[in-house]
Amino acid sequence: MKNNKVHCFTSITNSYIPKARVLAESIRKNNPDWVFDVILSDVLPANIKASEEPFDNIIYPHDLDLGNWKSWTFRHRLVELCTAVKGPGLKYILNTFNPDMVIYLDPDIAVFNPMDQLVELLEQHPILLTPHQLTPNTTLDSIMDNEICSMKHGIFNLGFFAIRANGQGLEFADWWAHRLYHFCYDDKSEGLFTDQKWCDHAPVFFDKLHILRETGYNVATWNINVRKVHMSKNGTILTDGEPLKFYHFTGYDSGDGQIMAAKYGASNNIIQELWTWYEKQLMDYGHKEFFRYPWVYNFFSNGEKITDEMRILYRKRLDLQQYFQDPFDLSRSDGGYLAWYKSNGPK
Amino acid sequence: MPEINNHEPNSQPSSLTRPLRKFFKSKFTLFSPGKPFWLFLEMIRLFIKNPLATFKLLNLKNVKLLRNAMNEHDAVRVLYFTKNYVSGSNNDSETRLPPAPLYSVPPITLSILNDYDQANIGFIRKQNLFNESFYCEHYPDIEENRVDPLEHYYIQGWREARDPSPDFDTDYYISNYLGSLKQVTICPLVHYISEGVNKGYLTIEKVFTADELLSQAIAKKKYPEIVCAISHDNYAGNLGGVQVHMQEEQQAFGNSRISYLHFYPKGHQKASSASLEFLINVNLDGIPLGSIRNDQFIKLGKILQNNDSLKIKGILIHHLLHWSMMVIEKFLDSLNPPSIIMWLHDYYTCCPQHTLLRNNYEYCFKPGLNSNACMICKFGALRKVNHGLFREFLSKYNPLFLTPSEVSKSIFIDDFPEFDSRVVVTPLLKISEIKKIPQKRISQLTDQHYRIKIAYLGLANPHKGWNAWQRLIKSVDVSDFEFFLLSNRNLSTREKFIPVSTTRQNRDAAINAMQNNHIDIVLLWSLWPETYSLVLFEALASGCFIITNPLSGNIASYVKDNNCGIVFDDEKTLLDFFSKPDIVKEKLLDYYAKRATTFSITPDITTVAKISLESENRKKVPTASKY
Repeated sequence: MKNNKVHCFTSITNSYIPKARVLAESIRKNNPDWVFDVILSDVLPANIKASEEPFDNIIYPHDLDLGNWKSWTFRHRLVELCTAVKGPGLKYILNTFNPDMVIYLDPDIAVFNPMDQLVELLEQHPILLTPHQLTPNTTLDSIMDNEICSMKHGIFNLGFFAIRANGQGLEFADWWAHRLYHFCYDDKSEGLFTDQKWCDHAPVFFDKLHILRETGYNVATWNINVRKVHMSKNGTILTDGEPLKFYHFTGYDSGDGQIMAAKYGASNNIIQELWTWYEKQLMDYGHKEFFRYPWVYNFFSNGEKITDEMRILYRKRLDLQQYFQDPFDLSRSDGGYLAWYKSNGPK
Repeated sequence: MPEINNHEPNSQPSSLTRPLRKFFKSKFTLFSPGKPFWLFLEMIRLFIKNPLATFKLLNLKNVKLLRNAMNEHDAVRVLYFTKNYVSGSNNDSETRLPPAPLYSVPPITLSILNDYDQANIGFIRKQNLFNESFYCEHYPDIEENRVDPLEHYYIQGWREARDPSPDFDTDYYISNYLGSLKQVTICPLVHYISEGVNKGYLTIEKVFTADELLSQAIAKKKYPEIVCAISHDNYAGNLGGVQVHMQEEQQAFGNSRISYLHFYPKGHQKASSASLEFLINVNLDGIPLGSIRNDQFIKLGKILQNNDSLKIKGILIHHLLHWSMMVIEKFLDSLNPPSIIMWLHDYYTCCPQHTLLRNNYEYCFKPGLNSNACMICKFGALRKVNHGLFREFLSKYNPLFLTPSEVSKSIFIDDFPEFDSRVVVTPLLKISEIKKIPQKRISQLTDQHYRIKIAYLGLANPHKGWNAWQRLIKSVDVSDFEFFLLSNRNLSTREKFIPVSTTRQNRDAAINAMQNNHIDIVLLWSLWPETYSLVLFEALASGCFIITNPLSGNIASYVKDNNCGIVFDDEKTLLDFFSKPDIVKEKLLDYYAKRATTFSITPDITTVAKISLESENRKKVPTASKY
């Protein structure tokens, strides 16, 4: 029976619907009382009925407090948008549903055992984050793959975060939502990596933030070399002797995930079995059908593709943002932003 | 079905003089329509092999003239160069042609037909087992290439699963009686003549109605009483432990004048299937009767129950793999047998992965249905479905369970505790003629140069410990140990291969091989809880010391209880042990001196008595759940 105490949400486009289904079902199995929300930065396909999906609520960009959401959406590439909406999405859930706690999980995560411990921890700490690494790596290879990678992409992995809806939890939500609204871009030269790099500041700004050191959370290719994942005799997957809470199948679509799993988890058959299981789950939930779905915000209204250069220019130029309030729309008499870009944009 | 007529066979040369005649009369007829280089090479090769041979070169394009040339000699070797090189000779080991994929259908038919082949072909022709017009009509390339159809089928056609007549289905015959196309080395028609016809093998699938099958059974039964056996495959044609046990069981029932009516599914169906059209194959006393559809099988139950010509003693369920539970239930409901005995040869009732290896990889310890292990195991979802079906089935029919060890009983009872009192531990073998190890064998060990002999016995499968074996033999010093692989397939790397195939006719093959090669230690590193392990007893019967691990089920249990080996915790301790050859020798000496014996093992079939006893018990205590 669901109550309003805990809302768990994720952020996707249509191509990630199968992943969200796997996540939703795994949460339903382990924490059936949690409400599961999806922020869908897309237009739900006509053949999909929201009521038949395992999602309690589907939230769209136009539901969020984004001002001119079309202009805002246009400024972001796909990954940038899906991460940028997390902040405003968090605020929306807090304001609309009044939960006690909000937990975010990336769509490529699956839950394996109940996470009641998270609720207990949130009752003590208003903000929970999981860092990519908890202990130093020991080989040059793993230092480069893991520690240096974290320095580029963020010390904490924002495939998970959790807040309590009061005190510093709300302060964190306000602060983060503001930063993501303005600066959720993949621009490593400027020190930005979407939503994740911002949280390097978080332990300093929010002293009650708790770094979640229990190794059963957010197990992924960047830490399986230092976490012992094995199967108990009663059939529970354990991480360092404690039940695995959730595994993060990051890099599934690019294949990088499996490559890194093979590299750092080759001697551990459980890791291989997890990936094989995940692939089957995705196929059962329609991955082949959904994977190639085009993203609606990747195209102008005439169907022409929006390039990164078009977005970045629009992002940087406030005058363009003012003049072309809806840059997707080409029905204007002047041909819209696309016509302007073709005439005036960089060659 | 084609019949065999007893025409006088063609005369055969004397077997005594044959080898000599072969050697001195070897003549090589080389036929080469235009490949002189290969012809020359082949001549050199043959001359080196048999300097006394004579050569005759032909440049014939007409196959009939070639055949006449071959008929002039007793021992003829013909090399036939076409687009694909083909070679054949009288030497038995060389008459086997490589498998079909190496040959495309050549423009002219293939080569050597020695006198045996010609006799066979002549016999087939006289029996009208081959329908030339049918063959030419169905395979137009035969006439296009001007080849003799029967010769083509005899040498090549059957390898391509072509049919010699409308009454002979080559693929059906091979898959039912000879294994698979890749394994077969004899023309199926020849096999049928020499063996199949006497065993009543079917040459084409015959699907009967229930009434027709009953008539067949009544006409062909040997005895007035009958027991119905249910399993997953044709025990008469396979070599596995369950199959050999069923062969022994059939024999035992026959000795008690009870016929053995056996049903097994043709192909795979799910336990939850509701299909009425699936086919079931039927054997009677090991001889195929035909096939029957699921719906007719259900009807057969009713007909058998009401029939006075075949008195049903009971049902023996050996395995339910590939059976629809709905069909079995309806059959049992309509048959209403006086007793039901169910063998637990493995853990299929607990999980469709019958060796309980999660994802075929690692022993899962049979966790809860909703565990992480079952969730990530590809058999997990089916386990949940089957578990419900089996519990319902077993509760309804309450069979007497037979299982070969306490280990297998405890694993079954863990899932089905309500049947604890109904499970009888029934070992599969009798041990007799126990003797001490010969002193000579013990003395050998004391020789400082003696290399301890370690063997891997059985199939080279990962769940039988093959990978651990490979790691062991790579890690130890060969100056201290000698390694042997005793199996039916040569996959040896560093070890000596001894071919062994244990069959009902040659039960002691493995024991003889181990004794002849003086094997000291056998590694039985099964990764799943073996319910019995025939190889364990074969190794012990040879006086061998057993090395195993705690997951090997009855192997580990027996070794601990009888102090006839060592149970190592893991591979690390196994490799540590073998890094100290002196310690190994010490353990062996101790074992040989104090405990090791050789003995004979024979099948112990008690089902005949048990089925009568069970039927008596059911009469005395009718249960509410009696179907």
